[in-house]
Amino acid sequence: MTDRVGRLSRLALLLALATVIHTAEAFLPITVVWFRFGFANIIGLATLYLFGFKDALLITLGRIFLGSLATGLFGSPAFVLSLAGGICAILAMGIAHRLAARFFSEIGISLIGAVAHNTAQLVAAYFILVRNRGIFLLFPMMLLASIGTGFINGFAARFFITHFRKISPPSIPHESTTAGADRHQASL
Amino acid sequence: MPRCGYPAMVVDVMNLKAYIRPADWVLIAFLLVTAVLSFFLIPRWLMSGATEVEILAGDRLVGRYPLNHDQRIEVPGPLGVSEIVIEGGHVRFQSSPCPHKTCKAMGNLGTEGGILVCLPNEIVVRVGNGQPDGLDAVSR
Repeated sequence: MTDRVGRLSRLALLLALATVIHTAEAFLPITVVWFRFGFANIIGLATLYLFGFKDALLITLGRIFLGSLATGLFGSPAFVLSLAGGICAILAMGIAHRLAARFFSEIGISLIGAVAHNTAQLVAAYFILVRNRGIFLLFPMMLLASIGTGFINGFAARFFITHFRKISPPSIPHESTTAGADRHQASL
Repeated sequence: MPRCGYPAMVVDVMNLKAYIRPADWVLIAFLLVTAVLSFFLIPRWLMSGATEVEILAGDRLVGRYPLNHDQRIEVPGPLGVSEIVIEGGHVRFQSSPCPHKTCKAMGNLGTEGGILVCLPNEIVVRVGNGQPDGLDAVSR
């Protein structure tokens, strides 16, 4: 019981954090910074490491829906773009984390996510917005930008994950004694 | 690494070398190479989509011609023969039997695509790769 509440409250905290970052980032003027940093992805990546793929997907979907409601972009093309990018990024990071976590650190996984995000967004923009192959001229620029943002985000996610693990114990079943674990299983 | 007054946790994270793996560097190098290559390859790929000139007389398709191959095409219409010239990646009406020569005044079209029409002689010259082109509006 307790661990489920703890898990739920931590996930709620992560979702709130991701939504706030997502919303705050939407206020960056696009004329100055023509790409987004995707800082909200830090939380997605951290959730992937801390809680696993399903919860990371939930956090990502949740922050895109809630964030777009907060910015008033729900249902707009920008929302569809960030939905496509977010889903692809978390899928790519989940697969990479599952298959290649031994080879990559958080930075590598974050880079994969950033590249997947930008590529998916460009393809989605081609299909729903522009319908002109000229849009793929942006790809090299977006790839370069995603190397930078992926690196920064991986760095930040590393910090977030270590910090999160220190301030809150990994999960309560790990701490419980054998008797406590038995009781826990019985209660399930 | 000296503590520099930062909390130990910050020092741990700042010490990139302690946790970044070789595969990360390989990935970064691979992405950089891909980015640099795509700077050159993507424009070439986009341009290679052979732009075609499509000529219609009435509702009959006279033919499709590559824009990068210089040639002149004589197209018969109700008023007579119109001469269409493809030259240096551009297509234009060279001569036309129509009274106002509006089609000649429309100038020439290149890879950007578009359409030239001679209404009296019922000839349509269309340039493009069949896709709708350009933006009508951008919103954010």
